[in-house]
Amino acid sequence: MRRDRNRNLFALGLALLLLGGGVLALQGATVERADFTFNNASEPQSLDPKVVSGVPEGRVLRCLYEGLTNMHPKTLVPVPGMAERWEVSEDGRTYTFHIRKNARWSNGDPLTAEDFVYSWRRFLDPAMPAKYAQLLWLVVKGRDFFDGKVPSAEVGIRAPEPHTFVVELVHPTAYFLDLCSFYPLFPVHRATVEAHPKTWSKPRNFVGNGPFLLEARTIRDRIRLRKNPQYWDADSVRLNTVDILPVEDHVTGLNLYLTGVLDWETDVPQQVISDLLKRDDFQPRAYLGSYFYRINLKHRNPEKARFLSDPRFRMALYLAMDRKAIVEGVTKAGELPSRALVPPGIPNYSDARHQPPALPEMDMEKARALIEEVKKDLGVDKIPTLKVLYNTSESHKNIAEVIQQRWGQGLGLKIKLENQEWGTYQASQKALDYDISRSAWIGDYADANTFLDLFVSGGGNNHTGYADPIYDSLIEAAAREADRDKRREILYKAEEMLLRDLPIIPIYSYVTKNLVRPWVKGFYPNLQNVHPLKFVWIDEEAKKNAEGR
Amino acid sequence: MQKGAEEEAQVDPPEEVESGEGAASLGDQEPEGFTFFSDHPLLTFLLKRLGWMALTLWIVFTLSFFLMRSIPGGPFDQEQNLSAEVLAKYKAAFYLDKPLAEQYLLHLRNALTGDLGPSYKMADYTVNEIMAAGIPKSLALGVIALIFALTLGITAGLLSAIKRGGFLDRSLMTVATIGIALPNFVIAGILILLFVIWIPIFPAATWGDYKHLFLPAFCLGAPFAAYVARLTRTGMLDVLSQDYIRTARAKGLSDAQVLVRHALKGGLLPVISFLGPAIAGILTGSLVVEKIFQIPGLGTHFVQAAINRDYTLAMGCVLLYTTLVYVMNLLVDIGYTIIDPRVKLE
Amino acid sequence: MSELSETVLDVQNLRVTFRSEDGDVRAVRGVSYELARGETLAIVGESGSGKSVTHMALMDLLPQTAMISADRLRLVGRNLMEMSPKEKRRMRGSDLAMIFQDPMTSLNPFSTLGTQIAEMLKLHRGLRGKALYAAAVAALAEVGIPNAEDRVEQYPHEFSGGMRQRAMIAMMLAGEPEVLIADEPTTALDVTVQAQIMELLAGLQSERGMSIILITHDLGLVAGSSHRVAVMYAGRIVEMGTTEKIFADPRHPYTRGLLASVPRLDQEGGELYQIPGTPPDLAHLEPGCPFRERCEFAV
Ligand SMILES: Nc1ncnc2c1ncn2[C@@H]1O[C@H](COP(=O)(O)OP(=O)(O)O)[C@@H](O)[C@H]1O
Ligand SMILES: [Mg+2]
Repeated sequence: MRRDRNRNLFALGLALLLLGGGVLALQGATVERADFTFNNASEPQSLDPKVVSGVPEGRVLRCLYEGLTNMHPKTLVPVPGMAERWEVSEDGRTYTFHIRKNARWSNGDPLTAEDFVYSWRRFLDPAMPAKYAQLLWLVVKGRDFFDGKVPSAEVGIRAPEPHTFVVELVHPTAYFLDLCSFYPLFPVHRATVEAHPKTWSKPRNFVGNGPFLLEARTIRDRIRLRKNPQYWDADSVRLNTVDILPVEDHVTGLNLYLTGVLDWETDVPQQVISDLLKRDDFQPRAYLGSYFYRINLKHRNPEKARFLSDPRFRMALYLAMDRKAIVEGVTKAGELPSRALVPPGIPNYSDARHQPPALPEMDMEKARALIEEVKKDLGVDKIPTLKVLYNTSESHKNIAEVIQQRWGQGLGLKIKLENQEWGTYQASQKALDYDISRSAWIGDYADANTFLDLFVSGGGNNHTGYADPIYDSLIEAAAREADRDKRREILYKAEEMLLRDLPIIPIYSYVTKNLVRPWVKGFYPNLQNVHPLKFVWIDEEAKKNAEGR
Repeated sequence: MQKGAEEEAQVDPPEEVESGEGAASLGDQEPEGFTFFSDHPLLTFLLKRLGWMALTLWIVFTLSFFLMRSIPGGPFDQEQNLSAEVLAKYKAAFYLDKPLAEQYLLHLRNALTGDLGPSYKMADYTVNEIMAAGIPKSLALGVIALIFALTLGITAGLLSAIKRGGFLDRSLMTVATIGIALPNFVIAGILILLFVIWIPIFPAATWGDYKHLFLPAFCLGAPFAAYVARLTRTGMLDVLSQDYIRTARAKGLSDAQVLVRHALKGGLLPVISFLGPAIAGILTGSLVVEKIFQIPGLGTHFVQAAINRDYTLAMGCVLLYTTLVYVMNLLVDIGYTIIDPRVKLE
Repeated sequence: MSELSETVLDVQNLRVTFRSEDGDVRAVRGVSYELARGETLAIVGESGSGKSVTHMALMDLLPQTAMISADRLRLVGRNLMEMSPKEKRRMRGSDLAMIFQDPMTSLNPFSTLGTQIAEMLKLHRGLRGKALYAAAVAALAEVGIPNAEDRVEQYPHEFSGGMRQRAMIAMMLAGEPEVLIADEPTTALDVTVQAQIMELLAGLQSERGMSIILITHDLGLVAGSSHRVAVMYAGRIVEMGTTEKIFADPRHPYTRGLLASVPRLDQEGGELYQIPGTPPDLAHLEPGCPFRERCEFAV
């Protein structure tokens, strides 16, 4: 009776609540498609140039900001950006940039040299520096300011006139102009940053100086950009709206591309590469990245250390590695087997006109001979089991299996494979808690230094225990050298040393894996896989034709 | 016989013998079950359960705090190119250089004031902001998945029970068995192939209007629908063989009336008991489904937070999941006492 | 017998066979009887003799596997065999009602007794709203349940066994049936309560003038409460007569066996008589008397 009715009503109420929740759940808004949508593969850590350090962040920041220089979309050489021109002093240590008079922030404020002074000092701020702060240690007193030893005024960054920005470097730095287009060095809008210290990068506050405005951002959902009318070169920007998606799973990304949601997908799942290669819109090109194995030269286990620290043993490992089988059987996207650390295609280093140092081809016989030699010298017959560490991933595993097979059957070594989840793997590598570890490096700028610099003694990304003062001095000398040819020769020497000592075993150099719709124009393949959206446009005619078919 | 009668006499209160005593014992029975408005039992029940929840949250907080930090790697350790000097400054800024006990107290104090801190890996957001953005999406997904699970599961289970042994029953139960066995990423793959690639009626992924919710919610709900179908079937078959169903038929009710008024409640009890685990399962299942369908909900944030060692965000997600599961179970328990008057809130 | 003239229920040669994979179970093999208005007919027999199946067949409560046939089945002049399923359903509860052995499990544990009784009142008497509520309370009061106003709001588990059976009676009588089939109504109750329930049934019968079929395996219960007795064995009525006659002069050896196994107050100590053997397997009955094997008089 009453009690039954109450119960029934209550149960009905709960059911209705569930249904109501369902109705509410379905109320999502329809998102109108942007002119151009691409998958950035992860949520940017931040929109603050100071905080970021990754490729996906770079793609977003290049839309929202602009540095002193820009990258040419095809050749990536520095072209005028916020600075319309610049002069370099005789000794190569002083750069004078002339900020363009029509440079503006997105809120209409004029952008001046002071903005760069503020931003670059903020970059070195001892209290809370940029993640890439060491980049500006190459500025006079940059390091001292960072360490809190001198006030900001002493740093070699000045604005003698509103539109003149002067930078004094410690050494002539060959790649400094490239660095000026590197996204961590983009300027930020002082008034906004100071008015909203915690929330200035939110869409409601954001002020930038790039070709696009930040219209909306929902976490791990999408970033919506709109053309910035205040941008000095707004006339050449042809996309009105851009959507940036953070899809981590590349199978999902591929589905989105195949169903027409994406115009550009930045990576593809390994397992479909052979199929994709048949398509016109998938054309892998050389990419500024190397895949290699690190070897622990300072192993805590003396048994293992005896072998791992012997360069002949490492050479044997190198010689017994079937790189061709790896690129043809596993990676399949046209990666090039490497015989050096620095990948090909770097101007004035490994381009068509220059011949950087390289290791010999695979040679099982020689490898076996070396192993025998080492065994004899050490007076040991048994080599302890070695572990190859990689972060959990199907293709790393497949590569390791090819290598395991050669080292095992070819050299008679006992090799075990060990996979660790990303964070753990990184920690193991950092702590030198491994035998042999899968590694890779994507160059920050198109210069051999970004690779060779890794292995200086105590370097933050060395992770091999390799330490040689001669190597360090070569890297140092290259940094001081203003002459391009002399500098190249010094770097060649460094790489030669590295290939002699082999703290790393080169495997292959990367290729880009972009899927781009045929009607996307102004999108050029290049070594750094940088594609400023400023130059990108949609060929509506071609799009209509393609869709009509 | 004699002995049995004695037992019966003991079970039966003496109210049989005299009506007056029967009336007296009525008073004792009044507060039983679920009554409305005047209810102290519900209030005390809620208070008790909330107390337990607070305790659970504290334990979960403590365990997660130390467990997370015992796993190798930290939020800023894994970034390439971070020099030792910069790293030290970042760690200091987030108290990561302080002794663990001190960090614990700091975080606990902040958590008690509702401040879970900034995300270590999404520097533009606080943990609260990220979760506030994620909750509605995960809830939307979960609610639709639950509706799928219940409507499909109960309907299939009822049909199966009514047509027991028939072709419909056998095919439905085969589908249900497959549904339980298939992990939801496989279901997702099949559905995407069918309804995104071949017959493009649903979007492949991402968040947007209702169409974006359909496939992921279905994938998430399908295994539970299958399980609910089986539970409903066995529950209904069990109830339909009960004496009181015969009574209901003897009363002259139609089959439909017997089913709806007499069999349904008892038949669905197993489903109600399953709701607690189901909700927990749907919440955790959404980790996979959200990834496949790129839904920016809690699941995605949780997984990424774990991978990135984003301690604060991971902690926020753990606490939120605990709360959600707890509250949902509470609702289910209350729901159970509403359907079954024999069960009391405790 | 003169006042019990009008026949309300007429059963002729009722047969029920259950189809099963191990062969057909012939549970009822030609039962015939007539029931007069106001009469109480006791159906007695060992467990498994077909008492319940016979009457479930009348109620049309048997599962699909049951094959029912009869020469005649008439209830207050209406032919049960020609009724559509819908008519049969309407007949249940309103003309022919049935109460069951175990009041514990025969009431729906999920709704209050008020609701369960009201359901009948609504269905068969078309009552609604306040009148419905009042009638439900009255129905409970009528079967001797104290504080009926409160009791209508209670669930079966809040009742004792005897009270539950009273409520069951109230519920089944709510449709004002011509015939009430009481299938072992007191078997699950303790002895003192048994008597109260029987008393209640007798009282209600005299008030309403309805007929009762009292199914029991307990001849002791029959003596004071029924006009006639039908003894069932292996799906057949083996002997039928007035209660006095059956008790005084049983003809069939099975009836004698039954009578001998009734405990008596005047009997001092000693073992109760038990009919030897077990009832026959109804799936494999051989021709002839099925009691033969257990019969003292068989040759
Ligand atoms: N649904 C059924 N299917 C098969 N056999 C049944 C079914 N119901 C009852 N029987 C059989 O019918 C016979 C009579 O049962 P029943 O009428 O319940 O006996 P009782 O006289 O004890 O009430 C028994 O042998 C029983 O096994
Ligand atoms: Mg029976």
